[in-house]
Amino acid sequence: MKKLGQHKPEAWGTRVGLVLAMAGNAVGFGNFLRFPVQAVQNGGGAFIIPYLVSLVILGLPLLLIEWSTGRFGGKFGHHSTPFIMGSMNKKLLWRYVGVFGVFSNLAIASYYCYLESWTMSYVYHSVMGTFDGLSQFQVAGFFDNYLDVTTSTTGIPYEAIVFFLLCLALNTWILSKGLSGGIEKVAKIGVPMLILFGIFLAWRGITMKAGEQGAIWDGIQGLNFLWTPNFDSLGNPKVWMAAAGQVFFTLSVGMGTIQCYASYLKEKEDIALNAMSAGFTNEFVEIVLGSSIIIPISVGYLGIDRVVELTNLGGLGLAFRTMPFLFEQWGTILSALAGFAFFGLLFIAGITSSLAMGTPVMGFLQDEFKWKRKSSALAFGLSVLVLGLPTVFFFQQGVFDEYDYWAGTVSLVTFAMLEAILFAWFFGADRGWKEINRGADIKLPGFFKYLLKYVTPVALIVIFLASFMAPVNNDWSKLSLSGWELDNSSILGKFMHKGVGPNDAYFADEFYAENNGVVDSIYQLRKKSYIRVTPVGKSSDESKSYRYGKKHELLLTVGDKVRLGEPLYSGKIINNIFFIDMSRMLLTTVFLMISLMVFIAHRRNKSKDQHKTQKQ
Amino acid sequence: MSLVWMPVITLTVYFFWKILKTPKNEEPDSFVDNDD
Repeated sequence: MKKLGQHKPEAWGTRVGLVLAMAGNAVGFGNFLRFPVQAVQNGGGAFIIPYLVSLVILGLPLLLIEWSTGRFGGKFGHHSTPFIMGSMNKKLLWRYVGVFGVFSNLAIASYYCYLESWTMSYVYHSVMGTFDGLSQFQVAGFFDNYLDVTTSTTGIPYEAIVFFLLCLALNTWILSKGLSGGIEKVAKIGVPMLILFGIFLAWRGITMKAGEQGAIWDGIQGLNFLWTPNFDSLGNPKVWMAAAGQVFFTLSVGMGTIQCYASYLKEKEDIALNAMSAGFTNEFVEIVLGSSIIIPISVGYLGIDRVVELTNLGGLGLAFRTMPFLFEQWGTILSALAGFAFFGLLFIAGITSSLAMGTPVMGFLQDEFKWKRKSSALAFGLSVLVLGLPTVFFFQQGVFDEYDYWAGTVSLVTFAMLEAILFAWFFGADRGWKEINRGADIKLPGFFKYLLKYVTPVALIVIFLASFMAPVNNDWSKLSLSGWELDNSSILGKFMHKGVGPNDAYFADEFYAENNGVVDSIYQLRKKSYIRVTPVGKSSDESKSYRYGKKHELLLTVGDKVRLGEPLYSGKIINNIFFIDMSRMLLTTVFLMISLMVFIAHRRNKSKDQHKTQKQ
Repeated sequence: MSLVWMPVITLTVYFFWKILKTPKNEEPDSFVDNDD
């Protein structure tokens, strides 16, 4: 019988709700913006081969590992990975490995919610007709304007910050309603809506005809371009790494969110069928819908060559700088609908993911420190705000990219590798396989057991090592016993600030050119001053524009030749490396603080257990 | 393209159909909506 005042423990409302919430956790911006770009850049239709191989040896096994470890830890009342992993093996190490599953969510949410707020704003602007009559250059400029937080775009002061705060407030409010009252409701309405919006846009994109509404190619040609296989690319390890990375990020493994959601299941409730359903819903959204929207529509209007160029700027650029202009070609009403549907589905994809990021943080506070649900939701919201504001204010200085690299890439790969090792080699693959199959409503193929024991952990170790010391341009033929040059994006390369260039001091009196060429323009744009250096004989596409402030003194003029490392302007200068290192210190501090909280909670639990034993 | 799309769509629909068709467990589950 329930005691007076005792509130019900958290639980999912329905099975379908749980699966949709898990699918929503997985479905994110990457399904629509990263997958198609990765496919275009890595062999088109042939990319699906390494993608499917990675799905089978990495993605699905990690899903099964995370669902089962979550349910296992939930048995003991734990809903966050430090103590879930601590329940699987008594070695102290695993509790602190579990810190990744709280840290990653806090750090990723802090910039992910900022992205989410962009989509919120673009839904508003699409419906209000802000983009009506704008050229492509003006639409791209609108986005640059938006990111410059002190500039208002259409009468809302500090618009980027206003939408960020709104977005955080919405996330916090939904999280305060709990699993069934909040997250599940959003998933049950949002995920089907996302699919409907996706189908509408995919249908519209694929049925576009050359010559109609300004299209120069049929939409179907864009789709065929993405799916035409280039089998030569399969010999390039870079393509296999890209596929593994895409599968990894698309399923949202390595974060601790799946373990948290699954920890609210009872011991004998199915996870095999639930995990497959959620996983394949994500794959449907990615492979079918994701490939049918931005590439067909943009190829239809811009042609293949231009779209390939634009994909080098990434899917975010294509989404925010280009798509609103392309939708405008469909007329006022259809363009408003298309903008609402496109940015609406991105917003739903984002919020279902950010809500998932909140739950392990809340679970940690509620389980280990007995916080109430509302207070822990508020703590999550406020922490994300504090951590997130540097990504808003110092976006141009590289803070956003830094968070994305360490929290959104390195943490995930590291944690996934360690949890696979724990599951397969410490908890035990036999025990783990029994755990996965307990209460299962489908029979999983037996080969998964051998994948879990031998293949997945080894594949993840290889991926981690490859990311740690990737050779320059991911050219693996350069590997040799006498050493090799590291790629700038390798983990070790990042630690060493490889590729930072001549402006490698935090503070300086002069700013040095980072390319060779000629000063071909000194100009103002949106009240900011720039000096542009273009390599000799090259087009302006390859030039580099350097922003300088009112108090800086230019040392060169138009026509001057410049060499890498020569001073461009003087004055009081704070270089990007300062912001990059401050971001790293902040993230490290957050990781250490969570570790300290785990230590305190563990000590408290231990002394409670000893006290109980003594009383007996 | 359809070589990939069809199995993905088929498997997704199959898994959801299986969830909807699978009878509830005899012992109490964790789902709030199934509470008496």
